[in-house]
Amino acid sequence: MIEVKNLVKSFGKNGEIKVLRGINETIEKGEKVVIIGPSGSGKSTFLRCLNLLEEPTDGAIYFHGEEITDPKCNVNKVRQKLGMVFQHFNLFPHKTILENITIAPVKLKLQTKEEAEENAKRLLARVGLLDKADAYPSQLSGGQKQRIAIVRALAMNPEVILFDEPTSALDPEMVGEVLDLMKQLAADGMTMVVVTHEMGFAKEVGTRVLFMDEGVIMEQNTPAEFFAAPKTERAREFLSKVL
Amino acid sequence: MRKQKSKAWFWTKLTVLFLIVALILATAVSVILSLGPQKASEIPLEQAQSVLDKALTDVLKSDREGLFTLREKTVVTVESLEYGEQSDIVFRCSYATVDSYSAIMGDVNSLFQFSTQKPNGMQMTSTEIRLNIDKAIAERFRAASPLSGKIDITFYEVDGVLQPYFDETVVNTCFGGILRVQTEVNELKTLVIDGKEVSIENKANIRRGLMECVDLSVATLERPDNSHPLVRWWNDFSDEFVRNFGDGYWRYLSDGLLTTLAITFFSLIIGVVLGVVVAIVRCTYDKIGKLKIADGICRFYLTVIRGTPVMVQLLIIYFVMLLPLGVDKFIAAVICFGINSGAYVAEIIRGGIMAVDDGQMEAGRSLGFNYVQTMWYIVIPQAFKAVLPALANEFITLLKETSVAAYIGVADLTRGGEIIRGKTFSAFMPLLAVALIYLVMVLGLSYLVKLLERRLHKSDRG
Repeated sequence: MIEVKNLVKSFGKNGEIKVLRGINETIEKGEKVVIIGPSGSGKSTFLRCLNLLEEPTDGAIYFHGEEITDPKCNVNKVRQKLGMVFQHFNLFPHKTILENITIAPVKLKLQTKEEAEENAKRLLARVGLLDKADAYPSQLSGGQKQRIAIVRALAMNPEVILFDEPTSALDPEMVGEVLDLMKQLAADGMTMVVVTHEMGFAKEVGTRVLFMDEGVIMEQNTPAEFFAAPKTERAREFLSKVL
Repeated sequence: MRKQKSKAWFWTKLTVLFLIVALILATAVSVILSLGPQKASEIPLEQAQSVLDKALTDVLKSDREGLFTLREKTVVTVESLEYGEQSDIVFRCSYATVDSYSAIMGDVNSLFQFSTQKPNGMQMTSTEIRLNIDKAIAERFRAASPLSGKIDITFYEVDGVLQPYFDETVVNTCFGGILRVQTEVNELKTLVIDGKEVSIENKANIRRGLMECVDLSVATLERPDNSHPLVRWWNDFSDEFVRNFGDGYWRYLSDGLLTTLAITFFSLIIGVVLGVVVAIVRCTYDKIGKLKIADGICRFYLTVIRGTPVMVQLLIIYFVMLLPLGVDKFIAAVICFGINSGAYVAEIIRGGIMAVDDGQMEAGRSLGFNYVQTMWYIVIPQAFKAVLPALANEFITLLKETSVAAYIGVADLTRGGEIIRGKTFSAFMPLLAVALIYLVMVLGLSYLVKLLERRLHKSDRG
């Protein structure tokens, strides 16, 4: 479904800081890809390149065979199908929860206001936050905010959801509720790409683990095999620190 | 804990301060009121007579030559007393005096002979008339037939002392109708004295001379204003007020106010639209590097507008650009203030946009909004809320700044005050009124902004 070819991303005036050094990867429908790796390894940048929040310096990304890195491609249209959940939730503080969820489908004229609200309420009921529909984000806990952020992404009926360290900004006691929701999504067959430090989640939910370091994918395998017997020295070292 | 304590302290201090101020005010008011008039106490008739006698003696000085004393010929007897509504007492009196009218009229020829025959041919002065009267008609006064009747003399208590109030009637009757001479003389346009025609040019002089004859000038001929100082101040104030704003003059202010509000309102619209557009252009260039040329134009605009005085901008826009095109002054003012405030609004809103977390833009884009949509639905509302106090200040500044429009002759509020000042030559009231109106508007605007802020901050509760 998503195909990445020789993705390079560098920052700085002359591109002296190379964050991604040529990544080739294919993500199929229904996969739950978990990306792990030490800080600064480029996992988040890679994820953000997938929906072009970061513009790749070189290489190409295809979505259903269409090159989205092509300047002629309508990125906005593609992003509607690529949901994203952020580390810091990024809910819209000036909108109520219901408005946060419905604003995109309504303003982009994908659904009528009534449809969108009905859909949003159904999703809110599913995550057990229907009573917060008229609250503002500042009135919610971190875990609740992140669940709303996931609902907001879901409301667009995306084909893939990209998770950028969704539990890193949460109090430990709230991590569970967000992971539970993500597990539910996984069970429903949603295609997910998750950057995370939750190894437990990677083991339990992931269908594939990508280990990144220094801008390249060092190693990839099924979670069972990866965690049992990492092939590279770097991965072993990393796992010994985080497990 | 500490914070709460200091808050409690603050309120305690405020209360104490308030009490002290209230105490001082109460004291001041009671002192002022105690200075006010007090009802004259009851006076026995004999005492009233002596007060009257003294007052009349004070007024009726004997003539300089000592030929006759009017007082000797004038007896005024108090018959009853009546208390007035203010601290005034009416002495009901009977009088007996000389018929000075006939005395003077009987010798009128000599009177005017003297007055017109000054050796050097100069115009006679009243003082000389007086002296001449004294000499010429003293004898006639002595021989004059008596007059008697009843009069009321009003006394006022001023600073605890009774002082007489001599109106025309009192003076005329009490002092032998001496002032009626003037009334009669007024009717004579010319006099023939010794076969020569003499014109009477300055009748006021004659009257004054006669008054000075008996030193009436020292008497209180004007009703003494012994009302309460506050009342007096209020009367002066209301007189001034009517003079400046009565007779339809207030229309200058009300019409001017409408013009000021209209200029502010329309420039506000132009300013906000312009400001938002410029802010978006500049932020877009800063953040994603697009719109380079537009950004350059915006920078130029900001530099020029913020680098020159609004008055100069107004003069240039009107006299250099728009007057030759035949554009109305009002429109010119609106355009000028709109463009001017746009520059300031732009910088304020740009600050607000920059202050909105980048994650908001990313979240919006990740949902499929394009750049402009994300700006409009997500970033601008938050930026606007963040900069509302600053924007409110800008709007208040704009409201006050429109007073410069008077410079190109727009009849705004300030100009209205100036027009009244030109008509009444009184600066205090019209200008203070103008200031007060601006102040009230600014306070009102501040209050509205506060309400709006509270509404916008609803989403911050929690």
